[in-house]
Amino acid sequence: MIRSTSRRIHALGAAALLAATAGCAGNASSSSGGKNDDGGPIVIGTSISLSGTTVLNQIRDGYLLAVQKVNAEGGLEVGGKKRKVELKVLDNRSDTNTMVQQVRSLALTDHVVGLLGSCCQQNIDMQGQADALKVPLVMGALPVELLPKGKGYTWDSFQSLADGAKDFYTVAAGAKTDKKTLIVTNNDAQGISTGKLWGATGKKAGFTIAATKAVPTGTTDFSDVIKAGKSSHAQVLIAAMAPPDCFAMWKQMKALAYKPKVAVGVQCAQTPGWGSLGKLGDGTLVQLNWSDTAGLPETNLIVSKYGKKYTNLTDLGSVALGLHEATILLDAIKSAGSTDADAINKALAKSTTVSAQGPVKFVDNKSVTPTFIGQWEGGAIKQVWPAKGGSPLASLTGLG
Amino acid sequence: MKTPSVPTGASKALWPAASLAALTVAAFALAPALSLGQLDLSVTLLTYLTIAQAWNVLAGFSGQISLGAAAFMATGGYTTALTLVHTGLPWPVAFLGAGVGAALLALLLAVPLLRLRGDYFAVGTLAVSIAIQALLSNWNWAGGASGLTLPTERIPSGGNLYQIAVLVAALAMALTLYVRHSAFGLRLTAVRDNEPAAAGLGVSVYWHRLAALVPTSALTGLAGAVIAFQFVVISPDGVASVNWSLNAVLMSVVGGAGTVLGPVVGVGVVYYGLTRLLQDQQTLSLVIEGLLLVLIVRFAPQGVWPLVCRAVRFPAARRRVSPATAETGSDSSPQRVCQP
Repeated sequence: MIRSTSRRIHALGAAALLAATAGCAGNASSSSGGKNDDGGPIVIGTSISLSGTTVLNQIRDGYLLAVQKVNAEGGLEVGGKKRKVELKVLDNRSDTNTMVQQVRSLALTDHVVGLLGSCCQQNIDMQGQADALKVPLVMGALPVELLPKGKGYTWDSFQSLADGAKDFYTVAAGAKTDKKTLIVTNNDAQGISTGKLWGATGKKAGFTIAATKAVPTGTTDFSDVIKAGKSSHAQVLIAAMAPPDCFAMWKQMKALAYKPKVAVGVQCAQTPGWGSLGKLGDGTLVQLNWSDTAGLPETNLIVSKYGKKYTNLTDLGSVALGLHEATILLDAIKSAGSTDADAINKALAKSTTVSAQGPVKFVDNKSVTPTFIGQWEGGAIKQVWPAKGGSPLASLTGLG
Repeated sequence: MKTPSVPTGASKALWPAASLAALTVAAFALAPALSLGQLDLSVTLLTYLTIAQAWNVLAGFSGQISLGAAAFMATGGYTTALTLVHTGLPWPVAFLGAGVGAALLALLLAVPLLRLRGDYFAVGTLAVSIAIQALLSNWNWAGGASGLTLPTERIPSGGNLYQIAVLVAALAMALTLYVRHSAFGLRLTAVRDNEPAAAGLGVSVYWHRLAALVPTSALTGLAGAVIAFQFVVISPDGVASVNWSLNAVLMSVVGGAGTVLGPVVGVGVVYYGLTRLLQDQQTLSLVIEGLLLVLIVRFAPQGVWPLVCRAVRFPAARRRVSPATAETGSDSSPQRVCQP
């Protein structure tokens, strides 16, 4: 009796396994039936961080805005017929594994014709998937220098770190400093290469690199770094670190009375969280990818649609970034006149789109967008460079 | 020292072993019939099954609650990637190297970790996992924070990768079946339930804990290799993420730790049911996941599979229970019968 029930249990288990397999197969089959060449909507997709440590709602809103804009015009003309566009947005909860699984699901099960990026390191991981799956991926939020050499399916339209460094030194040269510079970065490969680039650019611009420090991500004690800044009398500070590290360093600089005259928070001061530093963050410079005073295309659309929801320049810049990326992809689908991935990829290589971040021209899969230098003041950012459309540089009052 | 001889229950293992062999052959043969999307989903499910089953043997049967699966995943994934990127060796060598590398790491870590018990062991394995992730993030030869991209032309994909994943998952299931039905497994559970008593009966606690740690780590390393082949790009944020450890625990606990089929059910419920089917509804997925955990902890602390098992076995067992045995709660009670 016991053995027969035991068999029944194992038979039930085996049946459940087979049923699950069949269920998975059935589900996947039905999804694969909705291919993008069936005359229905053209499906594009993204796996983006909308919860967890990084929240990119603004970029997602930019993607949606581009799709709404195209659909309001009746869709994209593909094969002589206008077809609506459907954007499938999946939240990867800031988890790289989830992102990879979602991208693979979008490509292999939903048969998206193109992908849109997430941010930062996730974009690098996503590039590998785009190349392996041979699905075009348009991304921003990754400085063009940091895009690894791939197999040609990833297209990065974003700022150049070199431009940002050059513009910062131009701004810093206008302030009354001794040009002695302290560079602090995280000690990973990305941080070290950023430090080298800012150091070399600074020397060319006539600045003296008084000290360079590389610290592990998650550092909470910056007393050694601050001591180096004070002892070398560095009046110019460049901090390229993860946001929590920058926050901690700014607080400790105040506590230890280190008062540089000009400071830039590369990456970290770009996050909206910088505003939570209050007055301490005032005067810090930041590299921006967009400004509402620069006369870029679609500025009115972005401000009218999202100006109330997002009051900060960095947030609106992220909406512009999303709009820019999605427009590049949608224009390429239109130019290709096809939903074939290779045809879209070829169209991307020839892209001449002019969108929210200016004109696009890909060289080695990279198209550099303009750089602006902004300055934090009273919880908001104002453009200080280029001078046209910008405000005069204020002093670094937060650390003063 | 020779441990005492105990009944092995080999005859009881015959039917489940035959089922496993038949399922493996069937799954293996199914490869050409599956679409790329189905193959990819199956590889993910089978990889989760492998790590959940490895955790199940280590924690469910031998009582070593580990949060270190990610460390062995990372070792397997990075061994594979480094072998392929920096040498001209073929993928089978890299794949086997992943298992060997993870086993060697387990042997090395056994020296400090097996001195720890209970929560201390869990914290120790978590610390190892975090340390390995930090090491990989700062190791430029291994790509640093950006990781490594595997040469796609030299790695298995599609049906081949699916068949490898089937084999690895079958190995994990076979190991669990062996532990469930062998004298070795009986000694392991004795160590889990009462370590001093087991030691008093002549069971070598250290060697049994080591014998559970090493093969389960090797299996997790092989799962890491499968993930490296599937993901193509591996980075510390991905293959070394502590989420692998948490998922292994979650899937085993939801399905039923200490059972053979519990992790299978757990993988189905947690990954396919909650993560994949609800991927368009992330908030809902999180809410359901939380609710499910609360309900399981409150009403079915042994997991979903023992609950199903009891529901199926209960009528049969009740028919067998005589008034006398029912009063004494002896071997034929439904609770006793439902310990698959």
